[in-house]
Amino acid sequence: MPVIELREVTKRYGDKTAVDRLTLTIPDHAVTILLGPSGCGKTTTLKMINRLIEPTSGDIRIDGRSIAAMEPIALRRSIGYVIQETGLFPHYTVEGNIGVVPRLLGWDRKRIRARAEELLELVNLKAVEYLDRYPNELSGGERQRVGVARALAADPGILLMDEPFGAIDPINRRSLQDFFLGLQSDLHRTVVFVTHDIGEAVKLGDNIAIMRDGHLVQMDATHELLEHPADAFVTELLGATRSAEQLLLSRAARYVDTAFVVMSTEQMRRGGGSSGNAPLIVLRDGDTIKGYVEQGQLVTCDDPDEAICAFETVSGNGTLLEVVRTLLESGRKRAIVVDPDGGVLGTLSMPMIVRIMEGGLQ
Amino acid sequence: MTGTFIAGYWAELVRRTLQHVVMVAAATMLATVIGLVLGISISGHERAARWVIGIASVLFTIPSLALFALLVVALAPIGQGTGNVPAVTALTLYSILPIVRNTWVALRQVDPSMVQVAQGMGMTSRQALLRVKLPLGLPMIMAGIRHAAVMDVGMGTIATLIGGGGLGYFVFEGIARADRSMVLAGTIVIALLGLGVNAALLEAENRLVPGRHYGRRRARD
Repeated sequence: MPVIELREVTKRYGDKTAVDRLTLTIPDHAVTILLGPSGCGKTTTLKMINRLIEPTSGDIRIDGRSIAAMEPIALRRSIGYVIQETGLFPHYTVEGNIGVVPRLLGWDRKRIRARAEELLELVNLKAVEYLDRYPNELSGGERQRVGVARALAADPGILLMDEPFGAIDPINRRSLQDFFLGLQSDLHRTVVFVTHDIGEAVKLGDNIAIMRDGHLVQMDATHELLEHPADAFVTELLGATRSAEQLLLSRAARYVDTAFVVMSTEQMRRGGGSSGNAPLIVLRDGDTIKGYVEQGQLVTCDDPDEAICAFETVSGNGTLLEVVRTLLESGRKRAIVVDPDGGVLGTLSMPMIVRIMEGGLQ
Repeated sequence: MTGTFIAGYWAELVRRTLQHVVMVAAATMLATVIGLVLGISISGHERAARWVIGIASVLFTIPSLALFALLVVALAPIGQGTGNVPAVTALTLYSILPIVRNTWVALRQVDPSMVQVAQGMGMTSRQALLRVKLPLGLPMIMAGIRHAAVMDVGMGTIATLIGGGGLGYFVFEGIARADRSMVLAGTIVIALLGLGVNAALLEAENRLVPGRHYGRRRARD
């Protein structure tokens, strides 16, 4: 999977400079957000990566190869491109839309149909129901899912997304963001994602690059950025995000307590628990999580089974707010955070969340 | 009275209707080819567009009778001063304006984000034209072609004066003979032909782009 490097990239329109000596390395397998106020050059930067816009000077490399030396048509066909919901062609069916790049690449009909079916399944739409529909017979959210499926059609390593969820109402936007995170945790593409919505950036981004007036202000891992904003501009831009409400909207997986071991109930009963160093044992028999045990309690109980605590599971793609809600509603002490495959990512408790917020709000 | 006329001249009516249809069809098809080629080649070239549309507009303002007469004179040296050739030529010249203008406007009106996404997915400019711009502009281009064809049906009436045949014969012959039912019969058939041509082209348009009415519904909401 490719790394994208921008070196001293400048774009001028007459005497207006849209992007000014931008140097940025976009890591592979991760979602990198280009964030900033409108007119900061983020969309121009995105479009220079697939050469819809040619830089005035500077160099852009993908996997070390300069894109200036590549054939632009071939380059674009190898990169997935998603724009706001209007991006679907209204005169093509869903299948026709998904098949655009495969047709350009000369795939035969059967292969395109099979690929379209496979991709619709991936984006949770029933192939039989959707293949022959036209875009205006879909809801905004469905259109956007098809847009993502279309971008993935020829299996590109890079996805460029230009405010893809911008025109969608807040509730559907949240569920599309969750859907996108789930998809990305399976596919691990190199994603460059333009948005001006800070909440979206914090939720989706592994890294965030903040731009202003064509300059890069700061590029860091999302939690780094929240904890150590580089200057007053970033602090102000993230102001709302660093407030309690916005912090609670960031992904639970990022904050989990990973000091735990996983073992089966049987192992624990045989005394396996007392030999471990981790303060917490998560009990799992096969695919089923049975509960958790705190080391301290295990020592004081005669019967190890009495130490097993009830729990709630939450998705790592969910927000901290969802974890808080789950804990409050169920009255449990701890939530076990799992990934989409059922793997245990860690645990979260109310005192921990309070500490996270105290840290984030400083 | 008109009914009696139609019964009496039935064979003549059918023959002249066919003549009229062939004349209009030939002119519309020629003008469509010329208009599309011109309309596509001037799209994106402001100056060329002003010139081409300007010239076509001037042609359009020449009174039809005068244009027919001019063509008789112009084409006489090559032995085609009368008959089908000047008639079809005149109708073609008239039809170019609505087609070239609508093609140009249709291509301009295509949502720029559609063109950008086509490019961004790796279409060449030719592929973007054929797969995205023309299909999306088709309703407007077809409206231009329909306009031209229906206009040709009416204007084709004059062709009879320069030996081009067609339904105009009944109108002018009727006037000469002061035969009202002959004029009326000719006029009614010409009007019906115009309606028929319009309906046929609308039907063709619907078949050409199956998703078209979806696009329309979307535009409304």
